[in-house]
Amino acid sequence: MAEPAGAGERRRVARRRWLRLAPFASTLLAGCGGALAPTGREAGAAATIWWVMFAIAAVVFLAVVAILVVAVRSRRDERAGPRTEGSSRAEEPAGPVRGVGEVEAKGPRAAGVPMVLVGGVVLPSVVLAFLLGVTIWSGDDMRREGIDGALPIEVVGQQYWWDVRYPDHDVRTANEIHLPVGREVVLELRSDDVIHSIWIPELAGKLDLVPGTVNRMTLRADEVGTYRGRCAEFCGLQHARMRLDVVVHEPADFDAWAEEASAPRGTPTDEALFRGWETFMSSSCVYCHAIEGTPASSEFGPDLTNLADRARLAAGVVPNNRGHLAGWILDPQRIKPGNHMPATWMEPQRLNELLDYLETLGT
Amino acid sequence: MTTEAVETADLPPEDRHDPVERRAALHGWDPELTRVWSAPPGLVGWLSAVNHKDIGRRFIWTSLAFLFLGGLQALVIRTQLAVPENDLVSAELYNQLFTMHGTTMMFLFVVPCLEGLAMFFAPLMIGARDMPFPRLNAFGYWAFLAGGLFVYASFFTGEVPDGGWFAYVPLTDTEFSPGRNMDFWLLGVTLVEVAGIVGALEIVVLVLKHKVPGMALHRMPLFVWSVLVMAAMMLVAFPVLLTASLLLELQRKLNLPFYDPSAGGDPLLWQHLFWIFGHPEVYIQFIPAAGIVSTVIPAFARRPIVGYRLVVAALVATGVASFGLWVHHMFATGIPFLALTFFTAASLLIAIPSGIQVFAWLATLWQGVVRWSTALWFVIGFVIIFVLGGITGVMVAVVPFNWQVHDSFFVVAHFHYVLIGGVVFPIFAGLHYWMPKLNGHLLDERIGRTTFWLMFVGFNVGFFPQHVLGFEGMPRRVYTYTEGDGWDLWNMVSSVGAFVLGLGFALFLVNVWVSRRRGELAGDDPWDAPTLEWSTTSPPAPYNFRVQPQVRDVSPRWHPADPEEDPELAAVLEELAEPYEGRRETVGTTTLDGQPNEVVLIATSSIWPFVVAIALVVALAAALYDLVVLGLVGLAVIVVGVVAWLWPGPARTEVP
Amino acid sequence: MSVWPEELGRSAPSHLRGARSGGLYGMAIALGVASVIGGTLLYAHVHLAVNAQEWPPQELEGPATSTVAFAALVAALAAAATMAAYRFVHADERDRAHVFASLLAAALLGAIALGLLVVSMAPLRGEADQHAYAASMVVLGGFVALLLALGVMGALVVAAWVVVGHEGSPPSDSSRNLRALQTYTAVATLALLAVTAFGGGS
Repeated sequence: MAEPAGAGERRRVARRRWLRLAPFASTLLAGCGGALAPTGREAGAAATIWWVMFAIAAVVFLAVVAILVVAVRSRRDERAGPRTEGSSRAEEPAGPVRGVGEVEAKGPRAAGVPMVLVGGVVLPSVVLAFLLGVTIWSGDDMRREGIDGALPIEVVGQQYWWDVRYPDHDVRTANEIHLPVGREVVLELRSDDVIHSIWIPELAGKLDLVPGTVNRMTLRADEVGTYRGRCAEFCGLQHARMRLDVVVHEPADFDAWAEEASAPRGTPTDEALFRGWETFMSSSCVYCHAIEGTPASSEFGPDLTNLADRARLAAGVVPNNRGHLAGWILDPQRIKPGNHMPATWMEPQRLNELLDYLETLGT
Repeated sequence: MTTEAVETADLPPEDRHDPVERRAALHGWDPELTRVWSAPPGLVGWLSAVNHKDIGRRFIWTSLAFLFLGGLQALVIRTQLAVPENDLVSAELYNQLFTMHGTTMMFLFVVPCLEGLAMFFAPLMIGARDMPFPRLNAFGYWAFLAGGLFVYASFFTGEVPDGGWFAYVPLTDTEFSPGRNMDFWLLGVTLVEVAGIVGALEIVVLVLKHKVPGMALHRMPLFVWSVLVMAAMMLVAFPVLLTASLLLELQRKLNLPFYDPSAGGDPLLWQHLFWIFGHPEVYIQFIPAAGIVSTVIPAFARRPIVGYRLVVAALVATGVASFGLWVHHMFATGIPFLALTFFTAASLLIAIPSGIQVFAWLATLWQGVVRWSTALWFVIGFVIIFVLGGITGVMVAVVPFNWQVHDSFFVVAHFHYVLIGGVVFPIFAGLHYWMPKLNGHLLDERIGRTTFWLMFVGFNVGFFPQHVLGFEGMPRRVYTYTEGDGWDLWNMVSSVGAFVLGLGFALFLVNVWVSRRRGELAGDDPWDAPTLEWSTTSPPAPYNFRVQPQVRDVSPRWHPADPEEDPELAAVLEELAEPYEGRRETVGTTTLDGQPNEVVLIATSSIWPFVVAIALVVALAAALYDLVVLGLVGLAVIVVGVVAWLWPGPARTEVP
Repeated sequence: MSVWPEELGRSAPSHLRGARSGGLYGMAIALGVASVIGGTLLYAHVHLAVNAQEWPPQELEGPATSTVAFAALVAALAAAATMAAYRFVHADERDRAHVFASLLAAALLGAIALGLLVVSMAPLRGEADQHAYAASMVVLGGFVALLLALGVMGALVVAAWVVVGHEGSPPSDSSRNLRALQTYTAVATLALLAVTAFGGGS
């Protein structure tokens, strides 16, 4: 049957407009990274599950809205609004008037309850059973307590930093995790104070660090790159600034990093650097910080052995450069008010020497 | 039902200056019944009032005041988050703000508002004259008010709770929360919990005993069913939090190490106990809201609800099942996989009774004739927003997905969709629908529609982008974020939306003010609605019904009972229209069938509930400041007050 | 079928005006709430016991089981006294002396049970802040102690009403509610005994 030219033309234009919106919509959702740009095993599985659920959800939501629109448009009572004393409706004749009191059901009366049962019980049951199946099936692909040959990494959560150790490589570092690409890793999570949660959305879902318990999850990063992690359980004043950097290397690069990070730092021979070393060892720094190969060995605070190699300071908060490091040493409370590092005043000369020394702690 | 409204000038001379006579004349109420059922005059009288409508109104308006306080906190939060590295508020203040926002909304607005609506309308809908224990009811209000003020008093001492509304240990233990902040929270919330529990107790006994003759359980309005389920849930869920808070307070004050892993305790115990309360809590909020929707839709679709029995079954099933889901708030704590699967299954299953209700509502609209009003607009908005929120809820129940979005802004978006869409929108539908009974005036329809659109658009613009922020890795409860995070755009959009939503709420207040100023009274039944509250004046007389009605149908005003079918019963009900020796009486019936079997005596006004509530606050303040003597004094006054309250008097005997 | 009382003339004394079950429903619900509180305390106790390596810890002594047993016995007697009071009220509403005596007996017995309970918790008093086991036992004991205390106070108050007397309103409702409370308390004390005996009591 031939359609009027106008209607067909309008339909085609409308369709084109909707199609143009589609990539925009998916970009919106993909965002700038995060859980929908996965590069890890677990995150990949979660993202797939998300898209499946999203498709089902879109259908369900649109169906409900469509039913709603049809339901409220199909027959309307012209007498909208309330009756008040003195309004003209009070003067309407008594007796059966359409719209007064209960009305006759429109459409087949039998459509009522079956609609409720189909829409409310049958269809949801199917969808929900499917989702339950997805959950159980994906369990295999998800984190486990341990896998043979997985690289162990111990993470201890603190207010407001991450204490990271590699027992197999004799490395202790802070606020950063380095991973070899494509290899299973098992994170052993503990906390010394309150509950924290480690979340690196591109790689995997989160797991809590609970005092008194050890939680383990396996993790596998499938693409080289740097990612940002964060604490995801409210842990106090500076919860917002408890981040960490995750660097995924090629296996050879990872081994090189591990070796460098565990190498002891000797006493500097250069005079100026030695003065900086001396400043560190004679200040309050040594109460909390350790540097491998020096007398400083306190494990109370972050390990500084490879400080200079870190991208960011103060648990992933500010870029690691001379200016920020100086500011952090002099007054940590300005950058992260409420964190547990006290301010340390020192004269500019000594500060510069200290900074020079600290800049040697790395490759 | 009512006598003729009469001008004061037409009253006999001796009655013209009597305030009770004048009030009765103004509204067309029976003067003698009005006198028996009114509170005494003056301030003492106002403090002694126990009538369910007075108490219900107080609950509603006080809870709305808390809504606005919580809303202001939300606007500050959204302003702080609108741009990265904002310094509008410090980290400390921000943590206090989001804690108080959650605490205010969850404990001081939603549940008290719904309880207030239940207290006001459930007795009316079942034809009763009051709640079974009105003094306990009054105590509940004073305890709620005192608890709310107790928590807010912390603003004046500078020790505002800052551990989050679910107060996880060890963060909220004394080592990491020194100072009284969390003690304000624990003790204040305890008081509010007590208020909730006593209100719930009353609602259950009300529904069991006070329905009018002929109102069997299967003829009870769905709103009454929903508040019955809500009340039963509260009686099980609230004492759990009461106990858990008590244990935490004992840990803080006396070092009893229930949650301390270094001394045999377990931090996860707190999470279990909290969520055993916390998950049912959100259904305690949703179920009565669903009851409001089941009230508004029949009125504006001009026909009874489709699938009444299915909806009742759905309400009960949701109530019961909601106690089996709590671990889904703990999926990321390291629970074994088998437990995870069980709780996923349970969390998915509960979507089914909700789906039944949604489709019952859709079917009713489909089969009815739609008459538009602001209340119906809010219901439409509710369906759209709540279904979306329910869908994201189902998603969040799937464990691997949960591990990504838990504690992120995705879940913040989810629960605001189900709470604002699923609970606040129905509350506003109910307020617009029932305002004639609350204060005698209709709300303006045009302002009402504008309110709706501001709230609907503002809400979606405010909260939809937060789903995206969750995917982009923004955790919740963060006082700021950096430019490099890439969260700028959606945070700004969300903040703009929040302000539009706030404007909508403000416009509602304007509407209330405008309609009161206009002064025009609404009339008994402006909507031509099916349930019994519309058989009273607007507002209802203190005694509700001069002659309590009989009921033969679930829509008693559309299918009224013929009183002459049982002349003996009709005679007794007529007799109850004459107060005997100043007693407050209502007819009592059996639970299942609504067969009359008793004349229930209702307690009269008393100052003692107020006194006991004050003494309780004093005792808790003493606990807060470690003042043992003051605490003992408070306890002593409580004991004396309770005895005085219960003491049999001439106008009532032994009724608590 | 209506059970409408025949004497529903307006002058009938209120206690004849039908079922009067409202107060008992309220009391039953209140005891339900108490059960949830006690149940939560038990849940916490079991959760900690299951998750602990050693429960109770070696160095701690539990409450004295035999003393708790005595307390349970005395609490049962107190409940029996309240039941007797209720019986006397119904047998002859003017027989105030017997009602008063049984209520006093209930109060006294309840006070003794309370004292015994406090004594039984003595070994733990110094340990409550050392380990969650002690803390949990003390709190469980405290819960039962609160119930006993409420029973004592209730018995004294109702006894006072009997003495003061109220025309046309014998305290049948209150003694019925008190009976429910005391019975519940006796059961709760037994439950505490079970927890003590099987959970490391000395």
